[in-house]
Amino acid sequence: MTRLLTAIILLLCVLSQAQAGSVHIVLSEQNQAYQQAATDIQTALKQQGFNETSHISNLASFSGQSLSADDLIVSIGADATQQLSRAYPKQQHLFSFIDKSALPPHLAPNWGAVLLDQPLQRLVDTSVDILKQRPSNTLVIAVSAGNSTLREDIKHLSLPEPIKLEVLVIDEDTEPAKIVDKALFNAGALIAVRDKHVWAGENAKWMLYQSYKYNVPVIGYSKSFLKAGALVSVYASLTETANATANRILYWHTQQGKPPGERIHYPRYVIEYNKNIARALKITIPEGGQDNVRD
Amino acid sequence: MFATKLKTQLLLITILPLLLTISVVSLFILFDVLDGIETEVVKRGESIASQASVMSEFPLYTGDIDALQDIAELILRTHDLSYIRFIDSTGQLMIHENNASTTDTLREFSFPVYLQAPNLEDFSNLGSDTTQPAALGTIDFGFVDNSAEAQRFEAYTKVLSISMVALALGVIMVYLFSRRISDAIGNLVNTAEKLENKDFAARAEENGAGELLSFQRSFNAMISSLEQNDAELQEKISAATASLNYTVNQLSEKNVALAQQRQETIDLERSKAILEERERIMRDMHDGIGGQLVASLAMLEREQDSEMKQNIHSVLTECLNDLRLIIHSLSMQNSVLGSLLADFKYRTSRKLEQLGIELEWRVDMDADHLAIKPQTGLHLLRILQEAFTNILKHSGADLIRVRAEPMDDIFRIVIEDNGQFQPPAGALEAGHGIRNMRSRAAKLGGNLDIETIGSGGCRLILSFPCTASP
Repeated sequence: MTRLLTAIILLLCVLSQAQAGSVHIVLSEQNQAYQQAATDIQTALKQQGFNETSHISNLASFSGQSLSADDLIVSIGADATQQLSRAYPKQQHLFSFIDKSALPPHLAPNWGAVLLDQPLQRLVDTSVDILKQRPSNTLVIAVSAGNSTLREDIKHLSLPEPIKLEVLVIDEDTEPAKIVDKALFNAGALIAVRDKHVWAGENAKWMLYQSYKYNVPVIGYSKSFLKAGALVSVYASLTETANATANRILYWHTQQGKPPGERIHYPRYVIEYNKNIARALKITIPEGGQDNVRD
Repeated sequence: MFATKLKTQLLLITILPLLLTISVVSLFILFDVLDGIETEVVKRGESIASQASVMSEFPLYTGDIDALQDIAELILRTHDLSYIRFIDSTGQLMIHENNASTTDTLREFSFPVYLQAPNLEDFSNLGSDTTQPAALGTIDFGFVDNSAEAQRFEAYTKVLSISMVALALGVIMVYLFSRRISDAIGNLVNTAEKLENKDFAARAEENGAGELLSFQRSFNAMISSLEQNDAELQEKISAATASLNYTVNQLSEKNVALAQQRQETIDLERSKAILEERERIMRDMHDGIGGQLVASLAMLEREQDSEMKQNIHSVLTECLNDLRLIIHSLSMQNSVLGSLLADFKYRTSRKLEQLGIELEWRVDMDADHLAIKPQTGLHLLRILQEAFTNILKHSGADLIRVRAEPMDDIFRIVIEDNGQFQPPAGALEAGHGIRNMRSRAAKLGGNLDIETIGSGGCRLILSFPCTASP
């Protein structure tokens, strides 16, 4: 369906006289990961029939460059997002490969974003089937006190009965593992969120360790979580993120540079289980819940 | 070098590389096995450390001494360690557990325990934590390496046994395979030594194979050729030696002949000198004494006849005849017996006629061919003169018989008379005249016999060796 829409948009783009400007892909750093992301975006654009030239540069070389009012800046990564949104406030922006929490405040109206993180509701929905097999129906989420975006999302979560939600707000000076350790004793599942203070480094290691020790399944947000010991992970692959970014560029191009109506876009995602962890926790993987790409 | 025998050299040439190869391979195998054993020990240590690290990571992180105590006791029992201790990141000892039963040599290990944070981001450069892993502490432990020592001993034994078996088999195979070659070459060497001692009949036994057999055959063919050449050379040497001996003999004979010729030449020169001296004496006697006698006779002829004249004339005539006889004897050259006897008869017969004595003269014809030397003729004439003088002086005979004839290889002259001479016993041997005759007969190489015959006659037999001239 999406491809059909893309083809129609492309047809309209060809038939109409497009007046959009150039596309500038700006990398936060000149490293392999960002370059791979830019290359994937260009490849996706070509595959979808976009024949205009897209310029790739890094943040250092791009700063101070004069742009046409019709040009689109595609920022890859948080740093490029933060700096370019301030440097070119009247320019049209597309932020990609960032977390929702990295979006700059007070943005001008001409912007869109393709996020790496998944909507928190997807992870909660995924945990519902797991909690049915658990003695406890308490869902634990640990979030740092300063992550207002996530905390706001948590407030808007929709939880089916009888699932209970226990939110652990962790201060900057507190070891997350020690806080989580106490909560895991009665937890049915632990949802990992994109919060650097909680799920990073040794904290992540020890929380995964404690979860395994208490036989509490962890719902992760990346494929790497499966290797680290999570039961299931809900994530969008880098290719899908690049495709989603390319789709937004094409949409911008077909709209002749007009601002998009919907600003935040989530790439297509997959739900993947770690069979070994499932076997160790004696959890049956739900039917149709494995590796299927979803919109 | 230090081995002179061919078999020993072959064995050394083949065994030394074999020994070297086996030694190198054995060492490689041994080192590999020892490395494997050491690797096993290290792996065991790493496995224990890995297990202890996993188990103690969280207690080390949280500083849970009780948990570490439990872990230490569990690992100590499970892996039969001698000791184990946990040290935190500040170097402070947290737990130290000992196993008192082990007192042997320990293999000790020390492993750091790191806190390695997992990377939870797929897009790893976005918000990833790139800090180095933090050190939680150190795990030290030790265990007795009895099994490894046993394995090492077993490895030493196995490798040594395999090496010895391989070496023994190699030596046997080398001996078996090289024996044919060494025997063949040994035969060649022995044959060459015999050949050096000139034993060309020696042949190498053709017991080799392939090129060696061809070499033995060629070697024997060369010996045969050498033998043939040696035989031909010996023949040539023998022929040359015979020729040389013949030449030497010829030279010796030539030398003898030459010496003989030289002696003959010397004799001829001496004879010539004697002859010339004799002719000089003869001429002096003829011209001197002969001339004086002839002159005396001529002076006596002018004197008146008297008895004294007759006696002196007779004596002088005798002297002259005697001188002529001497000169004649001196001048005779290659005279024959017949002419000597005929001349004696001519000079004696007139005197016998005057005395009325009959002479029977019978000489064999062979006397005319019998050559005599002048000295021999003189001796013969003196013997004849003395015989006739004795007959005329003492016998009073009127008949004298003379026979000259050859008998076998001697010539015999017999003089007989019919006189009346009765000599006393021993008288025929005592006179100087007869002794002179015997002496002359001896110088002729013959002998002289005198005997009486009839009533007073005598017979004189002169025998001397002679050779008829051609």
